[in-house]
Amino acid sequence: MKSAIFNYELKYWLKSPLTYIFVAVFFGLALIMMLGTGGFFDGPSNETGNVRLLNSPHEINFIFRYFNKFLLFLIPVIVGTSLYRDYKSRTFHITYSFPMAKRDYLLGKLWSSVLIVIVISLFVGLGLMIGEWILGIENPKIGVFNIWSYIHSYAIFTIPNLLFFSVLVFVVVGMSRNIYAGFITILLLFLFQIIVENLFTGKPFLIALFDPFAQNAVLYETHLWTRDEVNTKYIPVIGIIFYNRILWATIVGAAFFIFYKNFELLHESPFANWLPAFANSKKGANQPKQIPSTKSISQVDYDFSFVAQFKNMLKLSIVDFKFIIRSWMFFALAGFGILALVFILLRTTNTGEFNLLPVTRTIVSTPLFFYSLIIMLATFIYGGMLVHRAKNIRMNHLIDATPIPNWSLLGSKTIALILMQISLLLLLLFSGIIIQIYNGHFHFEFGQYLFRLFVITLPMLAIWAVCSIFVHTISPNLFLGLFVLILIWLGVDSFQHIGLQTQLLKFNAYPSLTYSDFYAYGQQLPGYFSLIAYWLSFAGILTVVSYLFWQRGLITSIKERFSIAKNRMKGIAWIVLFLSFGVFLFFGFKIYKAETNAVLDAGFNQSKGDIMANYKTNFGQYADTPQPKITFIDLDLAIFPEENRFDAKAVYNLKNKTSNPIDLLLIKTGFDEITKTIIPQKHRLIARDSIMQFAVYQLENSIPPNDSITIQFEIKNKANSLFTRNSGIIKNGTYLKHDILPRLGYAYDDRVVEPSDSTARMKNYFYSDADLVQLQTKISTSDEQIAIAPGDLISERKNENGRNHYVYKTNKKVKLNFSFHFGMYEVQREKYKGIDIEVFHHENHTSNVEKMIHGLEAALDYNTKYFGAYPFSTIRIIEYPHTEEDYSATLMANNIPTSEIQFIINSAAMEGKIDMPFYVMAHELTHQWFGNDAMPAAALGAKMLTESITEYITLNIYKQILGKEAADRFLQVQHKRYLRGRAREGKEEHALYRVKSGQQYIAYGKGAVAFNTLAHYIGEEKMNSVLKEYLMSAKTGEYPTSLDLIARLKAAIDDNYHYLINDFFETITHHDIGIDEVKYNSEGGDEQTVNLSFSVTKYKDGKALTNLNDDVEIGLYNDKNELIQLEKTKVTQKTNHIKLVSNQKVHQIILDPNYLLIDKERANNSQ
Amino acid sequence: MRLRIDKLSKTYKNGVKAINELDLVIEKGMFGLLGANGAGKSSLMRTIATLQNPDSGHVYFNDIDVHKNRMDFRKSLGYLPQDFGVYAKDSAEQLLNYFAILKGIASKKDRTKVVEEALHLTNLYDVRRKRVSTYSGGMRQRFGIAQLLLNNPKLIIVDEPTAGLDPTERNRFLNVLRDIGSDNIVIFSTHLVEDVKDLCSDMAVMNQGIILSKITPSNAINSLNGKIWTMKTTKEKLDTLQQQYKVLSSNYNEDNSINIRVFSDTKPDDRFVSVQSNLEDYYFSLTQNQPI
Repeated sequence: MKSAIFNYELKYWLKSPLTYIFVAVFFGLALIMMLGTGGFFDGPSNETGNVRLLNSPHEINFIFRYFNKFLLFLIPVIVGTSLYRDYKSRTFHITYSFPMAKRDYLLGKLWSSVLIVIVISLFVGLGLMIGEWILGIENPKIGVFNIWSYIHSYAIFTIPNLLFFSVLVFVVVGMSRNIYAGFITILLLFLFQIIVENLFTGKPFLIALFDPFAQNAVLYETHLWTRDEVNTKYIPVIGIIFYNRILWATIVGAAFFIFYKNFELLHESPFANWLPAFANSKKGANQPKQIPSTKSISQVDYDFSFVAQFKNMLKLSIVDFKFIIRSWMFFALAGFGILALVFILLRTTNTGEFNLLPVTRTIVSTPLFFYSLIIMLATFIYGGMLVHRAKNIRMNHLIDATPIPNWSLLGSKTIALILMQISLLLLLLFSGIIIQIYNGHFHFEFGQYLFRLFVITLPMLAIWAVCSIFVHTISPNLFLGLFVLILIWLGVDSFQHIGLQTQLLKFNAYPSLTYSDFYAYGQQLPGYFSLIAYWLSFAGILTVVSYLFWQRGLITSIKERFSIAKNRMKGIAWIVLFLSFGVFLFFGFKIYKAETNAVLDAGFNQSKGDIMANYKTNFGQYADTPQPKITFIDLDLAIFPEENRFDAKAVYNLKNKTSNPIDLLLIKTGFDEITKTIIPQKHRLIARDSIMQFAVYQLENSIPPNDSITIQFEIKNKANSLFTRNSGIIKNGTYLKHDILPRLGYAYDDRVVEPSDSTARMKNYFYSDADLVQLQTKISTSDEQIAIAPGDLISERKNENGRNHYVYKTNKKVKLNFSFHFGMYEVQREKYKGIDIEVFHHENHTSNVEKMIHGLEAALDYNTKYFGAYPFSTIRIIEYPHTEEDYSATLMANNIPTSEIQFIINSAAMEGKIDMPFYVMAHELTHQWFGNDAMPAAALGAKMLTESITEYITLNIYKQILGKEAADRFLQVQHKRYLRGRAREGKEEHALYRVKSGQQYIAYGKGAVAFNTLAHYIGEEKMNSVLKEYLMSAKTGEYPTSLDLIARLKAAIDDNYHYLINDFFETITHHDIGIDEVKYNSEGGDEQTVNLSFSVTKYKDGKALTNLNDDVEIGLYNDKNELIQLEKTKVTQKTNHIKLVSNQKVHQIILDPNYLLIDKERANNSQ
Repeated sequence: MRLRIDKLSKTYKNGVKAINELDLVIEKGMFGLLGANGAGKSSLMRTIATLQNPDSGHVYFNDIDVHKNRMDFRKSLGYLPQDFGVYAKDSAEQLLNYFAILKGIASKKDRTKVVEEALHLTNLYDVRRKRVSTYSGGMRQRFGIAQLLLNNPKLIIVDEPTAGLDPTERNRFLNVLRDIGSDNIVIFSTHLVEDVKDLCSDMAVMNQGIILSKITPSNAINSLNGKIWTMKTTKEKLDTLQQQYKVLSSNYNEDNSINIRVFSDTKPDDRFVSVQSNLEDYYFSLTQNQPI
């Protein structure tokens, strides 16, 4: 019997066209994905060297992650239906009376359908393999073909996932006799994953364990893998991945067991009472009125006018809406949705590094994004339910014979879906407010909520609602409809793989919006709403098509459907179609123009590579052409916030600091600006690249050595287009930088200069065209804004002709790093040791201001003590909107432009984490000494002289102010930063002394550790005195390289410790240390002997060393976690035994408690 | 008031000619459409109810071409399909209110009134708060009548409504139908001759997509007056008799003997005695030679 059922089911699916559609789609998607990622559609790739291979076991698994999720939607379709079909067609009335065992029935259905799902999934692998084969081994991203990559992925992830969740869906559909419950189960699993990821933040082990799809388990095992490991290693199965699989097998097994035990081949579902029904039982609400029994229906008004039918549509939509929200599925979905929301919010406001305040903008960012996806998927499912529900229960003919027009029915379904979306959005709003109240945050921004939820998000969701109704109307069955919808959604994402960039084809997809309290969404809205209008009008077209094909009555052939559609195409349908199409074309054209203009503006009708290549060919000869240096800039800058416009005039003093006359001027002007160059001397334009904004001028009279000339520029912004922001000017909080100013010399010189290269010292790392400069700024804006420039405020004239005018001047020479700010600011002022500290911030962003000032003061104290006085009379912190840059801060002369994010960090909730506002300010101000006063030479390793030193000093400040424990946490973060960074490194990891720009993980993470470890052994005072000497020489002499500092360090410290310089600065060195065994011997009293065995392996540049001579610290701790004693021991071999005597009972032993060594796995360091 | 069907044809994709060049005129009153399963009754009913398009031919209701003016026609139409389901969680009251909206009753007060009347008419008032999905077969069919009454239809089409009802339920149902049928056209399809006999003022017999005969039940019975004969026989002899005579029907007696009814203009032989003709005889006399 079992095999009969098994065979019957198998045949059913093998005969169904749906199976072949799935096979084709999955095969096609996999093939396109492999080809697209391999660059098949972009022309030949010229990537060389250490590339991330596409077909390594790790990457194959990575690609499968995407498909594994997609494949899950097959489960309700195939596994769910195998059971559901019997209920729907009501054949179970008959079949359940057959003499078959439930074992045969259930297992036959389950195994056959699971087999079909797995077979379909195999075509993903086949698609990828063929993709690999087409790309060929000569493709740099393709390694040697390895079938085990695939077998591995299938055996550990794809097949178990499909199996687990097939069983789960089977159980759910069996219990509920409802196919939609199967889809909802899959959705709930996704939500469960999100919840787990966010619930256990900071406990990666638990995330890895509970992740239903084991993705996080893979991440847990591989997140520190380097490129080489990624390319070669298999994902280890034994360990967390195995536990995860066992856990889920157990959960699902238990569910199946309970189901199987209780399942009976009965007419009434034995589970009927397991699930609560949300029926409206108005018990005894109104007593029956006694009305006389009649023989006929009384004559009432029947209204078939348009208005009445429109009202009917609304009434019917309420009926459908109630139907949706009355089901337990909806409650489960909404409940899980809100849970996911809460946990995502917890993580967003409580990330690994810093917490954010639960302000409205935070709630409507990432959490809303995920929540919208849930709403969208619910829209897909419930759309199908609404379209098909009357037919499924055979009530359609009752409805179809009534005089209700088709558009009224169609409209009611669409509106019901939108009502469901609104109710879910309102749920988010209420939950958000409750969360805010819970967090003691009573500044409710209803305006912002409503705008984001109902003006920005709802139209997008409504478009999905129309699309969902459309697809389900056209599609002959529910599953094909759902599948097509999911395909549209995921397919749009994959357009980039085949090189499609235009928004015009990405159905209902939008660029993400960033919010700032300074000016809300600002310039982003016109583009966003143009796209919304474009897709809304498309939705209008879809609605007309849905109307034409709306199924009414019994239609027996496709031909008949078309002939009916043709008959319906008249009157109002034409009008709506024409109007929609007109709007669609209008906005389509607008978007098309904006996109092509953006491309043309940027000159990207050629590829970026071609432009660069052209530039290098034409101008490469000038790479070493000596240029005068900028010494003084006189800037006149007026901005017009309402018009997003600025006008500037700049006068440059250029001095020939070389020993030869200069007669060529190479001028690079800003990309986003329109710049007019005025050279008063007689000159000739030799060459120009209008895309790169680069020009070469020949002066008639050359500039003699040590002589100066003056040139002028008139600078204007380019206007914004729909999707591109060209103007830096915004309504409030404008943040302009020196990049609006023209610069001298050959731009984009990407030659790598080694620190040993003697020519490196001629130029500083930052700019070839300036040493330190002076700046005078006349600056003005509208009368409600403050304008800020570098230097001291010399004069201000408020409200003159409706504008505010200021003059700023630098009293000392500064690095050519300028920021200009314009906005409505609140200012907090303080005087500290004769220096004015000013914080310009948004009126509501006050909570971190004190901490920032504290950070500045601490840095002033520390650096002044060790490295000399602060050169300016004022320090300003100026908040800039989150939309303008990332979340960081930068020192620019005496200004520190700081992201809005730093101001809305929830520092009160950051107990036990990095105190960001304090840290950021201490770090930035320290750059005044290391980075601005001492500018490194233009060579590799420059960042060691700026960021590494600064991060090390910040660590010391941190230790001094916040204590050792906080400093240790800071150090741990740096270790992690380094280890994670090198795992993500796309190219080659450099040694610290050769760190290149972009390798933050080395400059910050490893740099801080390196200087700290060295200072730990030689002492802070000693280290600081070496740094001071370095600083003094850098300020006066040539630009220094990393080798200079290393030489100073070697000269200053004991030979014993030179190995540390080699380990940390000159090579890539790691340790692998761990405790092997600990034996405690109590000898009476409080004294205790500890016999410790531990092993040490040292790797240098990837190879294990045999000769060791390293210091390792061992900390002994009592039961209060206090350090009893710290032993330092010299290690010369891999395995070590040491006997320690303690005067207290030892509770814990930690190897390297001060985080001096770089050790990938610290878990085995303590016992 | 008049329904005229003119050369109506419908052939399904699988080649079955469900309606074949069918002509029929139906006047006010209860009209019975008799036919075996598969005779094309439901197809005809669905087509009249505008749920299906004919391949050719027309249906006119009081001179409006129903397939050209579907919406107008549906305003006067009440239709009860042979088999229907309802939303599982809704009560009769809720569902009827829903249908009242669909049928264009704009005012809530009117809807409540009409729904209550329909519930009374169909004797469902006491169970109006119960879910229709839990109703017995007869109650469900009466609910079907209640929903079709909501728009005060002029043309009522009920497709095999008595199938599967027990005798009491059937009677109750037919009474309801009789009450509402007097002023309108009611087309009532059935394969039970009883139904027609009890209810209809006019009737037609349909087979293989065509109308074999349109006649009033009394005329039908009268047309066979003196032509129906009966005899008692045994099972073994039945075959021979069937070859010899036109046997309309046969039924067993308690002693396992068989009574047969035979159609013949004259007395077939001495074993036969004349009996009063009935509607069933008429039906069988028409369909007997037709392949079924």
